[in-house]
Amino acid sequence: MMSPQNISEESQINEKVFRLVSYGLAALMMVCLALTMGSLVIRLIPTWQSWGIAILSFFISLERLYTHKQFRYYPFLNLERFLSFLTRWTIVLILVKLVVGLSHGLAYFLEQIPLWQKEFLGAFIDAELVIGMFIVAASWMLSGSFAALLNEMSIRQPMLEASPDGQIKPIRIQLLDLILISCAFLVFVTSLTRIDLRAMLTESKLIILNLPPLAGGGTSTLFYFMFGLTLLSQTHFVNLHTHWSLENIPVSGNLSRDWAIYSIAFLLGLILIVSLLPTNYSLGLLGVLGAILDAIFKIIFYIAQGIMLVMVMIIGLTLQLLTSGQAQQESMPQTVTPPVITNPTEFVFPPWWPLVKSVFFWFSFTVLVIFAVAWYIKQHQEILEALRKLPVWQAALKFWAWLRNTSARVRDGLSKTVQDSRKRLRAQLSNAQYTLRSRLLNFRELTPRRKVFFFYLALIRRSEETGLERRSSQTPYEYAATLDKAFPVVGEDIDSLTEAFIDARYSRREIGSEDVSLVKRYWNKIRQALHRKP
Amino acid sequence: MSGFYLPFLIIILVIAALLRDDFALTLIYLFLGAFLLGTWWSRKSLHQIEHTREMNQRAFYGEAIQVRQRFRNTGWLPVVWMSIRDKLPVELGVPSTFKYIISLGSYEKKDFHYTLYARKRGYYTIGPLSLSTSDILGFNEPIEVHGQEQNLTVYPKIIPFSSLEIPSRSPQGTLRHTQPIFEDPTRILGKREYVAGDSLRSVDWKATAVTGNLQVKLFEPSIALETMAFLNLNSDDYPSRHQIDSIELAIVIAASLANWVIGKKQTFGIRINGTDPFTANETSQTIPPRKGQAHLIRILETLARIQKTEKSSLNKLIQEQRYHLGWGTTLLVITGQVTDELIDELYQARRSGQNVVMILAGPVANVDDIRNRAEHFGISTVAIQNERAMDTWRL
Repeated sequence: MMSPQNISEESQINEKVFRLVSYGLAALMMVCLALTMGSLVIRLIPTWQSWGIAILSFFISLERLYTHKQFRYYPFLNLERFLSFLTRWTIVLILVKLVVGLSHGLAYFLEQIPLWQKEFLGAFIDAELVIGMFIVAASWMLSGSFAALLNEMSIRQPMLEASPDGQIKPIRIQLLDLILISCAFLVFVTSLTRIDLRAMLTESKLIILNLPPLAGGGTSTLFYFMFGLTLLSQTHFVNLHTHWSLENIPVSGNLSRDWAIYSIAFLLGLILIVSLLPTNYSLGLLGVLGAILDAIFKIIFYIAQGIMLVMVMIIGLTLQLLTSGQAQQESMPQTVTPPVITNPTEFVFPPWWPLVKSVFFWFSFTVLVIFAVAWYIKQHQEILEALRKLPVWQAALKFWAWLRNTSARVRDGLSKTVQDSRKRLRAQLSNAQYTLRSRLLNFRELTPRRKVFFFYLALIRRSEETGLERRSSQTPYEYAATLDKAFPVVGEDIDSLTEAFIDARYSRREIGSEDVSLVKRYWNKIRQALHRKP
Repeated sequence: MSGFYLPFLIIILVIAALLRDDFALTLIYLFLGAFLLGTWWSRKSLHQIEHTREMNQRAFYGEAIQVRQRFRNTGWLPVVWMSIRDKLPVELGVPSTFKYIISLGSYEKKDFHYTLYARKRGYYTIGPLSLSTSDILGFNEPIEVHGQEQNLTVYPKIIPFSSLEIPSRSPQGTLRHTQPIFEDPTRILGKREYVAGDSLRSVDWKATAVTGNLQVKLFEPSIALETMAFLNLNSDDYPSRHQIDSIELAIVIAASLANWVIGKKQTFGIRINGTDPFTANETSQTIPPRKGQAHLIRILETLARIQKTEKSSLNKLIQEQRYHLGWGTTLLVITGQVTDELIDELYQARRSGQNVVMILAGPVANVDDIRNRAEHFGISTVAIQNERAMDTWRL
């Protein structure tokens, strides 16, 4: 690998451009931060003007970003550092006062100036100044964190990433963490702007204001996030570019320009897609989640109270024993159940419309959550490994195996049952078809041997109808003897028919039509005798 | 991606739930959307890249091979950045990898050219080409696709000979025969007046035009004989200090002889005790004697790929092959070491009516002693220490 000294002049120019752009983006993010925090302040102080402090935050952030490297190497307890810190914050204080004061108009500001002489602390340091200083300080500190990371992200970055011990977290990941954490904070602030803070502070009531999604700091928070993504794109580019430079890989001349164009296109596309996705048709999802969280917090609170009570009792008793004093009683704090706020609907939708939206929402949301969790686990195999070692996991695996085996057994049993049923059904159907066929058989088409069978079977059937049922154990001869006793008149014919049947059934002799006509004659006589029987 | 992203989503969701704020969902969509859109873009764009590598797959030693790489984006989605890495053999006078970073717009194509130098005989693999990219925000690890490999055969160096002063009864293949069985049309003895029965093919039309009478060419009676080379690539038969150079020299000698003999329109075959990655036989490679340029290329390709071996001895190779060769065949034995068994085997070949020439490649100890012993058995010996020693035969 090349040494950092070998970095080309082009790369150094690129790095300067990157620094300029990334500092600009970070400063813009601080503007958004100031605006979001300002939206919250407006809830408490309606006369608050956010833009003045936001612009001031921009310049102070820029100053911080550019001078961070300079102050970084000063020792912590250094006079020069202390003096510069003091002077800087004095100037910031004056600027904040100027901006806050001028936000109410020049005349008002000029009226206030004489008051500083009378009572400096009371007149100069008012609530607006404190809030303004707080916002500026937050911007200053956050931009300092950005500056620390962005200054590291240059030639050293690939080396840091390549550290064999893996102790150093890559700078880009640290940057992403910082953006996400600060963004989460801004979401919290934005959410607070949607609550009636006055009612909450004075009456301890949670009243949620019905604001449009982008009002009350929503726009600035979204812009903060978008600027953050742009910064990530820039840092990704410079990171790659540094790698390529170190590896001496030639880079296409227009790549920087293309990257910038595609980044913008990407972010615009992202905004377009997100704007099409549903956000406010959760059918009370957040309410349900909020209620669950409230319940959890309440349980934790009661448990803590219980523990505290026991502890207080123990301590009180101990003190009573030692000092004979009175036991102190703790009063239970009262919990306030937030009222259920119902948002009035402005338009009347068809009854199926919310259902469609909620299905769409739930689908999108579930897919996203599942994807996020799956991806997280995929990227953190160590979590999976740790989970696998847990007894609960083992038990879950065993349960899963049992479930699979059971379901497999049930499935096999079911399929076997179904197959058996199908076989039975098929057999029944074939029997039915056979019976149907036998019922509909054409006597003329039968072979002479079959015709003899036919007459014998007719004899059995008709005899059974007269009450002389043939037992399964009876041979044809035994059955013939039974019939002979019942019909002695045609006994000879019965014997002849039986003989003819046995001959046709068990011999290989060719049965001719004359045999059939003979058997038919026997049968006719027998049939008449059977008819005659009362 | 940051390890904080899942906690971030949970935090936002908790905040949204506690404060009953739907706005947070927009941010979750933005964050996950950035991730998903970026992943989709990078994967889709990379898979719509079409790549072609155009180059000659065969080259003679010393040639410069122009390679053209073409990358075409076949889709509307642009490729933000793409790293191109093509593995190249360092033996061909280039860095081990051709690297470049490009971006490709919709349906855009880009060409790259570089040159490979055939500096060493061999069978080389060019590629595989690997293309990689990542999402524009760098949330994911770079993804990579691999292209096809291509092969390049660099033929061994050929030294063009003007004449080959190898002492032999048969000057490389064509031996004048006392019995006029065949007439060699390349060897014109003289001309005479046409008599009835002469073939019209033998009429010399130019001489007929000059003299005004039909003249026919008289050809020398001849018979074409084969040349069979035996190339010893058994590494034990070469001095370890000069093993690589001597083996390469032996291959150059074999290639040059093949070129010269086939250039004279004679048959040439070769048997080598080496390994060819293209064949299943690991001990020996045999190309039977044939004529023509196609046959020469076949020999050169085998010589380009052939590698030394430690398993096969030359004596066995000659013993197996010489019974299949006809009377008068010239045996060219290229080796780095001569043993008594080899001389005995070659003597038996000579007794069978085959002409034997032994070529010693590289620095061989006791050359004079070997030459004397070989001459005692009627075997011609040529010692070629290095390529310069062949200069006397050059064109």
